[in-house]
Amino acid sequence: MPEQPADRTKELVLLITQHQRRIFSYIYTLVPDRHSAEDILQETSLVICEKFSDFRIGTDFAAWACQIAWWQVRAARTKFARSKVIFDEKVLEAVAATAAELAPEQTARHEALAHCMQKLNPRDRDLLMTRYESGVEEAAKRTGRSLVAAYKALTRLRKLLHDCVTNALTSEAMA
Amino acid sequence: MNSMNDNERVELNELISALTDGRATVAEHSRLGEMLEASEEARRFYVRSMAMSASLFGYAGEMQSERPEPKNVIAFLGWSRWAAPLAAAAAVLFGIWIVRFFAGPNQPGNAEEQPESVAHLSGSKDCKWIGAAPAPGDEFARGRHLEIESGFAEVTFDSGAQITLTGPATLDVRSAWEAELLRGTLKANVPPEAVGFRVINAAVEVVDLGTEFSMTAEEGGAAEVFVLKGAVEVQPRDQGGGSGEQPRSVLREKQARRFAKAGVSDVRDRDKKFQRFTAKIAVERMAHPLNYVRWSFDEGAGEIAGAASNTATDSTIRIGKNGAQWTQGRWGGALQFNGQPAVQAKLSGTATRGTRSVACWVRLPAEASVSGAQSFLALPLNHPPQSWAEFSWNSLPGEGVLGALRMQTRQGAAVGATSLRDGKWHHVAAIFGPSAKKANKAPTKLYVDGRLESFSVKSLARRGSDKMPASLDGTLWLGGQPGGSAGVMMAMDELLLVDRPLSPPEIRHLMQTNQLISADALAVN
Repeated sequence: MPEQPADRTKELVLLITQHQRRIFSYIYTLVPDRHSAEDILQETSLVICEKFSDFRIGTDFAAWACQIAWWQVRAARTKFARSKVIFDEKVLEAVAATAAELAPEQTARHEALAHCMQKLNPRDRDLLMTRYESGVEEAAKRTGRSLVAAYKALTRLRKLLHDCVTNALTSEAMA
Repeated sequence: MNSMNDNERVELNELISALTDGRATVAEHSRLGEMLEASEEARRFYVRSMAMSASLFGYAGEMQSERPEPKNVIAFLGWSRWAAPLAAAAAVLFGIWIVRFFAGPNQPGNAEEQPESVAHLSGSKDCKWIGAAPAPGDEFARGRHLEIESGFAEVTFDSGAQITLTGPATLDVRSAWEAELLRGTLKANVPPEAVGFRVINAAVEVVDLGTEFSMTAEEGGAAEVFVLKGAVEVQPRDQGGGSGEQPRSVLREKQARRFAKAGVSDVRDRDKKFQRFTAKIAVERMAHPLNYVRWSFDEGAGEIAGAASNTATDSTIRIGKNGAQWTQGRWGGALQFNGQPAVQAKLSGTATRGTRSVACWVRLPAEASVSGAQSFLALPLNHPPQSWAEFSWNSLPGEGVLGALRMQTRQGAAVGATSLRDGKWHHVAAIFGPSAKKANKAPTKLYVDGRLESFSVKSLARRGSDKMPASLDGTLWLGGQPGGSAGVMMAMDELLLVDRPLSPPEIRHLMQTNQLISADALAVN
């Protein structure tokens, strides 16, 4: 691993801090299992550090990092070959291409999501946050729902948020 | 298949949700793969849905937190530590990020965290407590169980909602936005800034829509809700273990309902009960003294911004010839910063130490550059020594909403959820710093336009040095980062420093009147 000057290290830390969510999001889209995606993110981080001397400051760091993540996902296919957490190669490539195409809108969607969440009923927001923090069972328990009711409510809420974010961005574009 | 029909869209949404929650069968996974392969529209919906779930993992870790940092994580934060070998730095960075981005309440990383206050005892009258009696002003953490035998107790939540309990009554404080009434009677007063506050019990969930309502909870599980002003949303809770969600409904002024296992019904002796609940309860509130220093920025000309204080304090800010410009403010004049390095002012007297609350009006350009400076205020803290709190707007989308209020201390950064970057005046307030009673605890609360912000406390590397040089300790910085070569583009008005935490009603009053609330006004407010 090549030695990096201190300024270069700061640059790396800053870039990773700025783009960490987008890199995770990309991996999670291709490997829709949180823990597997986290493992791949860790592996990707090490490769980013190793190869950082190849990165040209001023170019798109997130795109460069996602390219590294793509190869890590490909490598992980062997590990997940018999598992259901990853799609076959053809689907994976098509999804990766769409993810790259939609990457520029992601920050705006992430921010709009925060506003849309504020519009939710507190009980629904609690369900959603607990689900993403502690899992569906805990979310069902905490909000006094059965597991089946929690699954249904989560499906409804995700669609609601998806539409709210899309509408917010459409209205903004038309304003 | 390229364009999908409505049935296919519904199916796709169901499949993605099943996949996200880890309950998709092999057949469902395979069907999803088919749809993604065949349709560009499906792929776009899928990619956006998964990105949204990735964001929700992040928000869940952040927005539930309102927690101080675990000490072992804080120890990594010094900027100089990043000069460590690259691989170690990367491992630490990603390690911290993953722990903090996803950490839930049961994660080992949170084991050292202390409960944070979400409410306080703001008043009482003839109150007889069961168990240890809290003192006026005592703070209540999440999960605090309150039980009174007789009399009245008023609890003010950090969201601004106020609940008056009439004994005998039992209440659990669940968060700044939620309480559970286990038995007895309460009256809730919810200002517009706290809309969404809810009270639950075994029989019903009441979500406030900006109002005043009363609720009684019986030992047998039934509850009655009375709307005195405005409206509330009510939802009966499933007491029979059924799987379905009960329908919600809205109760308006002068309406009342009874919620029990048998169902929802009218309230007996409704008028008599309404009469009882509308009677004013004169709780006794203790006015806590405070010391303050404030800059109105109303001079309009010259190089000096004078300070007003209730103590013998000289904290004049010298703007200089090329510093900030005078402009029209939210209340009278204001200071306009146009990118010059920060203005310094040596604080004196009580302003130097012990600041616990800060409030001001800020106006950021709607198109404020993310590559420019963002810090607009830095204040010395009394703990740890030679440290400071820096206020800015967030320019890093990965750390929270772009343009949201951000407060950075040596412990980490708190980022709010409301963007200030819209060219309008916003009232911002922050409560921070360790209290005298809990020297090792540093609660942080952010308010924007009087509303409590959800925020994250993140373990991210801070920019700049960790320690203020001794020669600059006790210095206030306005319009830029301490020592920065360029400052922020924004306007600031009515800066106020106070040596104790301001309560939500005090912040609301300050925002609405530009005055600190008097003891007399507090007593009847």
